[in-house]
Amino acid sequence: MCETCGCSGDKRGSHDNHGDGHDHPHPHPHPGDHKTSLELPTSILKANEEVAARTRLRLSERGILAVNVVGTPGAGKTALLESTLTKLPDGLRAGIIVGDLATENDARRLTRPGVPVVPIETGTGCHLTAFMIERALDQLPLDEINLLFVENVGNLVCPALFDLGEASKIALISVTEGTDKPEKYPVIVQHATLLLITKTDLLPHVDFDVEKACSLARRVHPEIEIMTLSARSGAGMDLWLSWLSEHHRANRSASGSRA
Amino acid sequence: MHEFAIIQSLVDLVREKTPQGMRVDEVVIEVGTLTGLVADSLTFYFEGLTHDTPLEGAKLICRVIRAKIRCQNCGGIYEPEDFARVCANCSALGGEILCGNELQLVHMEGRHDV
Repeated sequence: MCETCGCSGDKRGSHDNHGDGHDHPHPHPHPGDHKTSLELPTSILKANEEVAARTRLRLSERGILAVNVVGTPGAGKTALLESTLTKLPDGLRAGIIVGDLATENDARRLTRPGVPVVPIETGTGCHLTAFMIERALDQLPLDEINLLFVENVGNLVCPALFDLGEASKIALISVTEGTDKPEKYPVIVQHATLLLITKTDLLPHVDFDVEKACSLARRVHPEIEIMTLSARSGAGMDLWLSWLSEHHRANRSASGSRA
Repeated sequence: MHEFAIIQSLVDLVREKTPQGMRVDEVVIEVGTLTGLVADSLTFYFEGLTHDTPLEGAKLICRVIRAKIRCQNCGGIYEPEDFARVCANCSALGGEILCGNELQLVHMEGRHDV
């Protein structure tokens, strides 16, 4: 399966076989008329966007709040979700999709009774795509969850432009990554609704200026919400959990669903 | 920026939408500066990913769209420096993004394979 657009091409980078074996309708070509088959301008990521839109609708109809958790490898995505699952506010029933290039280690860490987890091993793919999420959703008991965590592949670059159909992108930056991280990765900061500064229990051991990091993030995205927390010590987790509850309520009202 | 993934999507899109028997000579895209994508890298990957395909030899033209922000404080329009939405006129934070997030295929030139 082609991980870029979901067709049954093979996975080689050049997509050589992509055009073979497909039954795409081709309009009758006219001399010099090469634009009849495509309405321009069109988004380059159109294929992904169409699937993302479909997913967004599917989740909305069921009142499921989906969040796309992104961060550098080691930012603390899995630890955050592990801790969140032990303190989930009443009424929230979580399902998880976890992406990694290799291994299902993170999926195993998050597995616990009552929480369905679907792992995605992307192989060479450095980010999750809407196609991958759509297929993973088919494996989740959607009637039993109202909150979906998508733990993206460790990467602060590519996930920024790939919509998965989520309600919010949540960017994690840990205090070990340097104060200027928001300045270095402006595109993800721009696209994230919420920035979580993680591992704050390590602040005594690193030169991370929280206020400056927040200020740098707000220069790129003035409206971004920022929280600091530590999954290990529990500091700041209450605010994050409240955010989830509030957004779940708002999402449910917006969708009109009774889930 | 991983321009590779973007070009994979572009090549798939162009190949899927090119009528059979057409040879693509030129692909024109618009790329806003707020995407963080680098035109040289896009061109590099385009050449690589079209090699040994019916698109081989097609030229990729990247039209860079420089971001423009309208300040919500003074109404002035400015180009953000380094992605920072800080008004060049009054230093206020924020403002409406008028352009700069474009990532689209705008034009293709081709001819029939004889």
